[in-house]
Amino acid sequence: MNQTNNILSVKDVSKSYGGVTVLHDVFLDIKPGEVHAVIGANGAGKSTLIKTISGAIVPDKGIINFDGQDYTFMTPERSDSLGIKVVYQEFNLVPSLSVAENIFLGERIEGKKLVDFKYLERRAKEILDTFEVDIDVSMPVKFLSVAYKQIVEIAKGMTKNIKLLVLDEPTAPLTNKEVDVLYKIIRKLKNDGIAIIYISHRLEEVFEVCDNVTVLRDGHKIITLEAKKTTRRELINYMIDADLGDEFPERIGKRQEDILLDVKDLAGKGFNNINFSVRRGEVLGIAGLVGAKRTEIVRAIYGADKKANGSLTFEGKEVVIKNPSDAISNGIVMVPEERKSEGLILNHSIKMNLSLMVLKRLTKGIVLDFARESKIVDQYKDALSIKMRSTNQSAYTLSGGNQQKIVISKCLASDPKLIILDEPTRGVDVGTKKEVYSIVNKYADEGLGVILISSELDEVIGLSDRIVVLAEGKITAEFEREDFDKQEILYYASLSDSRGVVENP
Amino acid sequence: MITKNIDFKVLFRKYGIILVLFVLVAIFSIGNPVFFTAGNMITIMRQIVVVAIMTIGMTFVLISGGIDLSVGTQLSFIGVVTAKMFTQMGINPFVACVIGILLGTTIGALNGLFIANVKVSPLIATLAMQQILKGLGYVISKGRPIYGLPDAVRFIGQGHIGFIPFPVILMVIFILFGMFILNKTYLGRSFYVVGSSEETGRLSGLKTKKISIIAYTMCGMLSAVAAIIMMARINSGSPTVGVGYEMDVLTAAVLGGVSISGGEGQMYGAIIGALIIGVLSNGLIIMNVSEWYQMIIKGLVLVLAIGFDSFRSRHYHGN
Repeated sequence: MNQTNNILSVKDVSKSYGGVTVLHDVFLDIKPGEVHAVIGANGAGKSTLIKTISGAIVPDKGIINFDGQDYTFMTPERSDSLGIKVVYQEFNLVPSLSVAENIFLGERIEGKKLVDFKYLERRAKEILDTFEVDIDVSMPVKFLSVAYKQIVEIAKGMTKNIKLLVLDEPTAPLTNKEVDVLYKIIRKLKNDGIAIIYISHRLEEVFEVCDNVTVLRDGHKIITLEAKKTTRRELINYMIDADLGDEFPERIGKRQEDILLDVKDLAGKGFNNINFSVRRGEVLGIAGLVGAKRTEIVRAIYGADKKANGSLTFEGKEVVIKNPSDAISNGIVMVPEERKSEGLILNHSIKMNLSLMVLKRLTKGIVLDFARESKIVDQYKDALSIKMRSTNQSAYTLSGGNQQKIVISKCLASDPKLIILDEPTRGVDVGTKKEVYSIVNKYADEGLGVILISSELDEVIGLSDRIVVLAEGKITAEFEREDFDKQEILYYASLSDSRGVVENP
Repeated sequence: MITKNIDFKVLFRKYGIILVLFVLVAIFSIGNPVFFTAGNMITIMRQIVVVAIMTIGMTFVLISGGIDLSVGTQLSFIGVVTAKMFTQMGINPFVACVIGILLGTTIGALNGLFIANVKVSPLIATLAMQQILKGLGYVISKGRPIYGLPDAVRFIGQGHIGFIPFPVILMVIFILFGMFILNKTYLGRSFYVVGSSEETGRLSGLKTKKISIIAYTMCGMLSAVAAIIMMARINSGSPTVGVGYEMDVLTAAVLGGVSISGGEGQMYGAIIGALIIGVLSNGLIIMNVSEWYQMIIKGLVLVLAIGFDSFRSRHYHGN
């Protein structure tokens, strides 16, 4: 049975980065005309797998068989010439060029020295007609909606004789109607015998267009199932790891009863009707998948982005937070998602970074009080055991973990009542992760309110007293600590009301 | 070995610019003995006053992540307007100078407000301002210098206290002011933060828009001060006197280690940069190098300084 009619066979492929293995002996088989979903939680290895197929990375071991030919690795040129086309979430289009020009970008039309725009436009129109979409091919791509840009991106593959199309989270930015157009195109390509790998977070899509599903978890291939013969529940079970482990320290203190922050009817970019509260000494986890608008919601609370609607009550009083400065003076601080571009001034000293949020308080008249600055800096560098040669060292010289501790210290130095942690352990080593957990616990025990966002569900479950689950900008569930259940949480996080209610649990 | 290496690098980064200054002085001294005399040194100091004071303002703007190309024509414009006020409109000279400075401050503020709120590139916005001011200067002066300055005003540009030229004293005062703002105050620290990462600054509670507007405003004010000194020195309000000054000022600041991409630099470095420009101009004149060649040399110096700056800041901006 070795000589099957698979168009792609990934065999025993592994890849590790600096001692961390992100793919373990993964197998994947796809036949022509098959739509194959690859699903898994964040960090499961989906994008690494795609990158080995497209040639963006070279695997440590294993074989990629394409169209009957074995390769130990791909290169972007090779995968391109073999007929593999990957549509990433970030498109590869030139905004100012027309649809037709983009579709034929990099192509050399035989026998022509100058660009024959009429010919390009006619050919582009032919391709788009087969998709049954009506796009003006002479229009610059920048005027198109995201959905149409995606279609143009797919159409780019049609100028060559493609055999395998890889779609990376194709529906994330699309509206309902647009998703239907995409499905139509997928079905058409499938009928033409093109194999499609479909990467997605949204489970219901698996049932909508896919023939088979492969589940990845922590870089392992868990199972491949026929879409018709499985259920949402079953897939979720395979996606999650049953045992949590004891990596999360025990909480000593208890959350208090009085409400610190009450969010009412908050609405903004992509979310609305957000209602929740945080108590003193409570860690409130916010769980959700990519596109759930977790970051957008906390940024709106913090005043970093505009709110369309809603009110905030902090310590019993209604507060107006128009910018981060208002938030900080009320006692609300935030460790932002992007450490390097939003949390730090990389080219300056640790000292300058640590005192950033208390700068105003360190100022007498217009002059900075350098002695007090040093005192605060010393206090927090010790409290969080930041490893450094001196406080004059530039922030960019530190490891990710130590950088993150500086951002957290910077926030704590302002003596806040509520801290928002957006992905506090992303890109941080295991040791520092545990330290961050202890810091969260310690300050919560002392009465600090915490809002925690993390893509690692284990982390949210391990640290929170209560979890609010978001899906597509709406709160879909709320759990108390005693009711935490990974499967349930993931279920509500993947609910999408725009696609209709899913099958019964 | 390694530690020694690093020490040397740090030392060179900090004080390399002083070394460059000494080398230049040595070359010109050997080239022409007239160069290294007390008289000529004082001349150089007097010559750099205008560039140095403008460099202070430019340093604020550059460190906070912007750039101001309108400073050169501000030099002409403010001079023309101020001269017109007391020669043809009968306004008290002192009051006229104050109005001139306020006018420059307003121009700076307009630059800042436009850049911060409309989010246009500072390069283009201040280039437009440069053009507007150039035109206004010609309109007001009808294209000719305005003469007839009272003695009290001339003293600002030509007077002495003891053997020290009065404008040099003014320069020293403004340099100290610039150092104080940049190194000791909330505002100065904010310039560095906004120029390094505006978003980090904003999320840490700084009013980043306001801060960059203040940088431009102060730059406008200092340019106006320089304009009045210039007017007093050349005895007239000239609509063309400021041509090319923005280049000298920019070269001085970048040469002195102020980063063109914002967030980094020291006031003393920028001032030494201004000194180098002064020594270069003076030395080249003494050695009879024509003005045309001087332009070429100054242009090359700017390119070198910017190249060096970009090379130096590459290590943390990534590759």
